[in-house]
This record gives sequence, C-alpha cells and structure tokens, in this order.
Amino acid sequence: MMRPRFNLYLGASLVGVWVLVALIGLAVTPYDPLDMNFDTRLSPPTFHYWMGTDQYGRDLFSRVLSASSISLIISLVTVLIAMSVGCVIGAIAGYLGGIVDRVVVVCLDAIMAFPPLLLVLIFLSVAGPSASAIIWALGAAFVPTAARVMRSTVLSIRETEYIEACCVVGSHDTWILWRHVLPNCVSPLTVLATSMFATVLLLESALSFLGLGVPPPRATWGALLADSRPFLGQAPWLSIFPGIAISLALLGVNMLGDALRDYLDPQQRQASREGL
Amino acid sequence: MWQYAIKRILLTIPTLFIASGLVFICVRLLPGDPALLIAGDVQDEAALDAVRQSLGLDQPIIVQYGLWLKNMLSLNLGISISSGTPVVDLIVSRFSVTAQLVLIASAIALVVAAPLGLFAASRHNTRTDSVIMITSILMLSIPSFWIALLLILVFGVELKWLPTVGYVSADENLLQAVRFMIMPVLALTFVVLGQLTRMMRSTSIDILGKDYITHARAKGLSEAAVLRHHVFKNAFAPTMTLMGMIVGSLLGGAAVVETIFTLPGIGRLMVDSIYARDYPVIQGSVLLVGTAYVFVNLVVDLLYPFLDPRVKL
Amino acid sequence: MAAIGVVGCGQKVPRSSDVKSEIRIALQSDIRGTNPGVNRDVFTDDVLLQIVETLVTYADDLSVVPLLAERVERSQDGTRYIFHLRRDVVFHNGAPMTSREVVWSWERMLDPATNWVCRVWFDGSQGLKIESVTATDLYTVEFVINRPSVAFLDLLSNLQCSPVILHPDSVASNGDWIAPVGTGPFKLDEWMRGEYVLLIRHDAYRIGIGERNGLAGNKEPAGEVFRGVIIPDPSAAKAALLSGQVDIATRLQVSDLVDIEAATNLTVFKRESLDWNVLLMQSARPPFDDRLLRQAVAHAIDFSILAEVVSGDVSQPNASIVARSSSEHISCHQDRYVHDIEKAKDLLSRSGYEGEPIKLITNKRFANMFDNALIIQRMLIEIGLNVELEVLEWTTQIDQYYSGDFDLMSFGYTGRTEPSLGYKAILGPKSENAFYQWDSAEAMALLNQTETELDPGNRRSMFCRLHAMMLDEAPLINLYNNYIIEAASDRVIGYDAHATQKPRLWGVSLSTAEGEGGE
Repeated sequence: MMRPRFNLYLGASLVGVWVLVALIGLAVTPYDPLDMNFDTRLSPPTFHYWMGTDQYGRDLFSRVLSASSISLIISLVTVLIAMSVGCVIGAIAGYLGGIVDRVVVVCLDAIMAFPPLLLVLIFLSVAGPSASAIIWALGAAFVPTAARVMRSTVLSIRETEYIEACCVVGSHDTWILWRHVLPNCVSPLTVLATSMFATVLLLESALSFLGLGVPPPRATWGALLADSRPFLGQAPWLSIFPGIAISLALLGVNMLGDALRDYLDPQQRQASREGL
Repeated sequence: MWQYAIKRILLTIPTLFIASGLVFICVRLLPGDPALLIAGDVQDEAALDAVRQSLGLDQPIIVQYGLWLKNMLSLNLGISISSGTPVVDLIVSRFSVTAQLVLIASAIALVVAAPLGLFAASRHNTRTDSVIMITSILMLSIPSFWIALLLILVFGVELKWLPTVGYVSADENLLQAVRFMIMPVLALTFVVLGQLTRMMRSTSIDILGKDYITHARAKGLSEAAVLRHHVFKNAFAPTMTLMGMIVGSLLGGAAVVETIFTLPGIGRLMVDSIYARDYPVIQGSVLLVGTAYVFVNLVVDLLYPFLDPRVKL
Repeated sequence: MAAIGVVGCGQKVPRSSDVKSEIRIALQSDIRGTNPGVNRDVFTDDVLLQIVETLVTYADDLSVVPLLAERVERSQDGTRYIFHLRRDVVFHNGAPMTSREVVWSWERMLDPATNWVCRVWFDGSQGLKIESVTATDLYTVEFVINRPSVAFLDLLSNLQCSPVILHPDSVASNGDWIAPVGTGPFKLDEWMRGEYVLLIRHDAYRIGIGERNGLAGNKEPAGEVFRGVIIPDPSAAKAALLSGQVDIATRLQVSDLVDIEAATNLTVFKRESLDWNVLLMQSARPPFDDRLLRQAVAHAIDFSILAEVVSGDVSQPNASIVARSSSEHISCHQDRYVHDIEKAKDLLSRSGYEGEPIKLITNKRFANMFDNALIIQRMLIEIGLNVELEVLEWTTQIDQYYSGDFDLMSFGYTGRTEPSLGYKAILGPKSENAFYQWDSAEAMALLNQTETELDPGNRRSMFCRLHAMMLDEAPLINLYNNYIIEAASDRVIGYDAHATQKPRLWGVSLSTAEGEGGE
C-alpha cells in the first residue's frame, strides 16, 4: 500500500539522517562549536562557514550539528525513562485495580493537570539547570501519560483474558496474564513512544528557547533559536537553519510514527486488505 | 449517564486539591528569596525580615497553605508580590487573552481541518490525499515558535506590514486588536491545523472502511451524502476530542508564543512569576490553568456521547 | 548592585485620540510603587525621578550641586550643614516648599515605621548618624551629623533611594501612603499596573533659567504628557521604537545598535554608565584563596576585546571601582592588568591549581553579565583552567552572591558617584557579611580614613593607593563600565542621555513638525 510505505521511507530516512548526523556530530564538526572568533562575527553563509556565524563568531553549522546530538540523546533517554517508569506504574495500577488503581489515577490526573512546561520549569528551578536535570524533569512530566496508556491497555487485556484464564487455569492466571499483557502492549506502546518522542523534542526546544534547556555554551536547537532572536533582522540565517533542523527531525519522527501506527493498528490493516 | 457525569465532576476536586498542594510545596522549594528581590539592594537583615513578615513568609508552611486554601475558597487568591495587584484580577485578565488566542486559533483550524481531512480521506490513495497528508504532518512538525519568528521576520521586519509586539483588547479597538493578533494566531493555527487535519483524515479513512458505509453506498446514497451523513459526523467526534485536548494544553503551553509577541497571556505570567518568585501568582495561575485543563477535558468527555452515537456511557 | 526585574505584561497601545499630544517612552518594567525609597527598584526610580526632587543632586560631571536648596554651607568641623532653600518651589498641590516640609520629609524617612530602604545609611548603624534636622527659619534647614563625612552630600543625592522632599499630603493622617505630592516637573496622573504610567506637566513648576545640567539646572517641563509604556522584553522595546509605537527608549541592548543606527528617524545616544561589570572570585575558599591563581585569571582576560564585543564598542576597559565618567577617575585609575597569556600560564603553573573544575556563575537576565561570562570562560580555558558555566536564575544568583557561595561569578554593580561608596560595596569583613569581596584590614582602614578626610587632594591619593592595593591583591576583577544606549525618534526634540542612566523628561517636547508643543 502506497501510503504507509511512503511514510515509512521518508520518515525512516529523515530519522536515519538525524541519527547519523548526531553520531557524526559527537565525534567531529568542522569547527569547535564553542570556539569564538571575534573577527568573523555575524557572518552570512560562506564557503568557510556553511551556515554563517553568530554574534561571537561561532560557526553555526558546527553548532547545529552538535545540537542534533544533544537533542537526540535527551529526547531518547527521556522517553526511555518515562516509558519504563510509567509502564510499571500503569501495569501495577491496571493489574491490581481497586483502591490502588483509584489512588494512582487521581495522582496521575493531578500531575497531568499541570501544563508540562510548568512542571519542568518548577523542577528545573529547584534542581538547577543541567542536562541530567532536564532529562529527569521531562521524564517525570511524561510518566503519567505512559502510565495511563499502559493502564488502559492492561485493563482491556484483563477484561478479555481474565474470563478465559480464570476458568481454565486457576492459580497460574498471574503468569499467563503477564505473558499475555506484554505482547499486547507492544503495539500501543510503540505508537506512544514515537508520539512522545516528538512531543519531548518539541518541549525540550521550547524550554531551551525560554532559557531553561541545557546550560550554555552547549546548545540545543531551541537555544539556538532563542539566541537568534535579537538578530532577526541582521542575521536571519541564525533563525532559519536551526528551525529547519528541528522541523525536519520532527517531520521524520512523526512520519515514522504514523507509518508504525498504520502497520500495527489492526483496523488499518483490515482496511488495507479490503483494498481501500 | 448523569451518575457518570457527577462522578467525573466529583473526581476532579481531589485532583485539583492535590495539584494545588503540590504547587504550593514545589514553589516554596524554589531557591531564591522574594524578600531579597524587593529589598535586596540595601543589604539590611532587619529590613528583609520586615518584608518577609509582611508577605506572610515567616509562618510554617502548613499555616501558609491553610490560609491560602481558606482564602481561595472565598476567591481571594492573595496579592502579587511583584506588582501588588490582587492575583484574581491579574490571572483573569491574562487568562482571557490566552483564551482568545487559543480559541480563535483552534476554531479557525477546526473549520479548515474538518472539511480538508474529510476531503483527503475521500480521495484516499490519490495524489491529492498524499499531498494533504504530507502537508498536514509537515505543519504539525514545525514548532510554533519558529513559525512565530519567521512571521515576525517576514511581516514585521522585512515587509513591515504588521506590528510585532503588544496587544490591544478587542473591546478597545477591534481593528487594532486584529492587527496585533494576526501573527500570534497564525503561528498557533498552523500547527493545530496540521494536527486536526491528520486526525480527521485518519478517522475518516477508518470509517470509510466500515461495513455500514458499503451498505449505505449499496443503498444508492451519493458519495457526497455518504460523506456528509455518515463519515463526517462520526469522524468529527474524535477530532473534537483532540481539539479539546489541544485547547487544554495550549491554555498553559502557549507561553513561548506569548513571550515572542509579548502578549499579556497566562502562560507568560506563569513563567515570569516563577522567575520572580511571586508565590501567590504562581499558585493562582497554575490553579486556574489546571482547572481549565481539567474542565475542558471533562466537557469533552461528557460531550462525547452526544457527538458519537456509538459510544454509550 | 545591579537592578532587579519584576513581572511585567505586554503594553496596551494607547488610544488613537491620545497619540498626537503625548510622548511615549518605553519602560523595561512596571514600577513597584509610588512611595519613593520604600518600595523600589531601579526602574521605579527612573519614573519617580520625574516627580520628586532632593535638596542636592548630580550635575553633568557628576559633582553634587544644589537643586531644591539654593546653596549649602558646611561648618568647619564638617558636622553641620546648612541648606538655604529656594523660595520659588511649589508642590504639586500648589503649596509652597518651606523648611517645614523639608524637616517633615526627613523625620518621616528616618522613622523606622516608614521602612525607608536607606535609613541605615543615616541612623548610625553604618557609622554616620544624622543627629538632628531642624528648621532655623522659613527657608533654612540645618543638619547635624555625628562626625565629618565627605560623602554626606553624595548620600543626599543618591539615586538608589533618593531622600526626596514631599508634602505631608502624600500621607494620610494614620500614616498610610497615598501618593507622591512632590516638587518635580511632572505629576503622576495615572498608573495602570502592568500597562503604563501617565505623567503630566506640573504647570506651577518654577521657571527655568539657563541650561539643563545633569539632574539639576533648568528642569522646566516642555512636553505636556508623557506615557511610560511598559515593555519588559528588550526585542519588543526595540521593535516598538523602530515602528514608532514609542518615541524614546532607554536601556537598549548592544544587539539593537545595528538596527537603530540604521533607522533614519532616530537619534542614538551612547554613553558609559556608572554601573560596572565585574568578575567576582571567592577568595574565602579554594581554589581562589590562592592569590597567584587570581592574578593568573586577571592576566588571561583580554579586556579590550571583552569591552568591545559586549558593549558594542561603547565602553572602554576599566579596572577601577571608580567609573570612567566620574570626575574622580584620574590617571592612576587607568592602571590595569596587562593581557598576557604567557604570564597568565606562568602564574597558573606556580599556583596551587590542579585542574579541578571551576564553576563560573552567570544569568540570562542581564545580557552583559551573560556575554561576559561566555567570553571569559573561553579566555580562561585558553590558559588551561577547567571552567564551566553555571547559568542560574537571577534570584538564585543573588542568593549565592549574598551567601558568598561561588567560585567565579559574572556580576554587575549599580554605579556610585562617590568612590568611597563604591569601595564600601565590596570592601568589608567577610566574617560579618559574606557578600563582601575584599577582606583586608589595611584597605578597610584606608577607606575609613577617606570618609573623614576633608582635603580633596589627600583623598584622591588615598583612592589611588586603594586602587593599587586592589590590583595587587586581585580580590575581584573589574571589567568595564556598563554601556548606556538610548534613542529618541525625530518626533521629539530635547532628549539627551546622562551617565546616571536616568531618563530626563524635562526639556523634551514634540518637535514642531507635529504641530504641537515645541519650544
């Protein structure tokens, strides 16, 4: 079918490029992204500086490269943390049910009542800015989402499996439920992971923009955009290139996520079989 | 059904209670002393203590929280440490600005997205559909604050058509209000449009694959009628749900766009007040945004059965 | 000490009917209150300066000249000051100013119940005490202080908490503050919190003769209505200026220079401020308890590049506490550290530094502090110091400044016009207050002497010695005086910037091309 494949190819290639660039960026960049050169400040893109320079004479291309690594790592680790912690909580709540479930749901809702930006802001204000603090803060902000999804998945599986299991097996129902829960979670969780990844990346950029991201002089894409603001008229390249980078990365992740969702969603597969 | 509704509504109360308590504690964990901000220039301990006393910061936390709670129930959220205005007035006026921004942007997005998504679904697997699909994913992938910067660059700096900063409220001067709001609204609409179109399209495609659609066609209904009567109504519900969630999250999360355009919105107020350690304002604004978010989700949840007849409570 | 920002909102654009006759100035922050010296910050001071006045104030060259007083006499022993008041001063409520109101104002300020922020300067807790303020006749007031104080008149002129003369109508009978009834060229007409402050001309203001002279001289108001529009975001302020939404903007950024200098309808004013940028080093604990390390840092920094890049070439390097725009900045204060990387590396190797990580604290609220930190970090890495930036919120940084909890800190001080006041901000026993940067008994003794030394020549050489001691000891490193960038559109005439970075709205009016006002 044309659509998912197209999504898949374009999405995967964009993400692939990003990962590749990020890996390269960790090892080598044309210039040291932190190196200042006061003679070539605010230079437009030239042969020497492919994306131009900023107000301290730092090469923008190198900075965009190194930012790609940082953004990738932060988003990835955040999603991993949020998913692992959230899934454990959600599974426990969904599985145990009853009062435990109720309490957990109310607590999760309480945290989800905060705009994620605010949660992170407060966390970072208390913990001080650092890459690890941001990861923990963002991770914590998304734990409720992961927990909720896991919980409803577990609940729906429990509904279907419980009836069979209870009558047939008896004391082994725990093990079987466990055996059945995990495989059935893969699909919704994968979908969740990709959409969460995109949201985290976006939120991290927004935080960096507000000055709460990874501390300077290392930069993430959001911080590069924020730094470009006073020079919007004089040096538009400072805003254009980082923005393109974020957009392409997000585009890739979103397309990949869409393709995965199409693949894993049974309704969709049904439709494709009917040749629609 | 009413039982469910009431239960849902009642559940929000402990949620908000816990949320407000959490904020209260977190805010006081923030390093930095508001008294220093006010009197810091002068380096005199007695003066600082006097300021702390006048702000009520010398009491134990439980007492402070109790006082705040008691006042909150009579809608007295205290006085802003930075500006001396009553918090209630402040957050209400700021919230209305954000609400205007978010609702207008979402409404425009919805009006365009719904038919567009439906149209794309009806042209599924053609080039038109692919174009619309890719465009909508592209639109939702671009950060709204980058779009904001680009808009300022093009319309504000280069062409000089639109003012880049400030805000005029609609009841003061409608024409000016529109001029100031065009770019912020556009920046938000862009992204929301992508999200809603994608949702509408994928839901419509799902529905088009259903049996009752085939039956309707077999009965002789025109394609347009099928789309109108069956697909649209059913696809609209999940799209509305999504819009509800988007509105809810934007109410608090539009802080960056508000900062760029210096709109006096509640997102920016929250961020600014955290920087200024203005405890009453932080608490009040978070409470308001949290309540709004919970409320919007509640409304969407409760309206769902009306929008989607398949769902029964 | 640097200014502190507060919560601000976007500004409301004025109604079109008001636009023609009023002059709009961008304010970086809302005012904290209207009670001078009680609920204040630097932005509040900017606005209140148009409304209230002091007995003496600063001239263009930052010397102290009479304002509400006509002339000042000082007794031989330096403990009595006699102020002969002007007779043509009228309050905003029409009442004439006499010695009665001057005494009332001072008694109120010195009363602990008023919470006047600078009371401690005059009540003996820092040495100086005003023993009495009495009216010897209708237009004469006598101050008696406990010991001679060279800085006394400076303290009376100070801009951080100006001891202004108010009319008793400013306060209710139960002592509650109402509104400032002052003597200044403008009256506070309206204050819409978070939006704007509206000032209107005080028509009964005394007729001005001669020229404007700093904050004194001819202060006659020319324009009728001034609207202070609150625009906290610096990019927004620049945009508002360029688009004509405001006519005057003070406190502009270096990054704005290109755009505003390119604009054909703007006049740009660039001055060096009294405020100064500084790199603090915590000498109370390792690693910066090691003098060789501190000196290594001092020689690693290229001050010319720093000043040029961060201040847009507005400021020159200045290693002295005494500001370059001050008349006290004589040639000995030009002495500074030589930028010598080899020497820095040599000092570093001889010091006890072993490569341990060092945190350089800065914040994003003040662009100059941030930029300084960013560039200094590169320069220190170049000589082999393992320096990391720690970007804190301003409030947190202030906490750590007060507690002395830092290794390196990029900081800024508000300008003092009197050298002794500048040194007093940094020189003192750390055991008493952790915020002191320089703990040296010898220097403190010398500073105390300057406060009572009445001979200007002797004083100057004392300050020269202090400066030399400071360079040698290197407790902190002064970088350069901050920059002032202000701009006014051609819609107004008569505006000019001043080294105190205070806006002066008197003498400013709409240019005649607008068909209104003008001189």
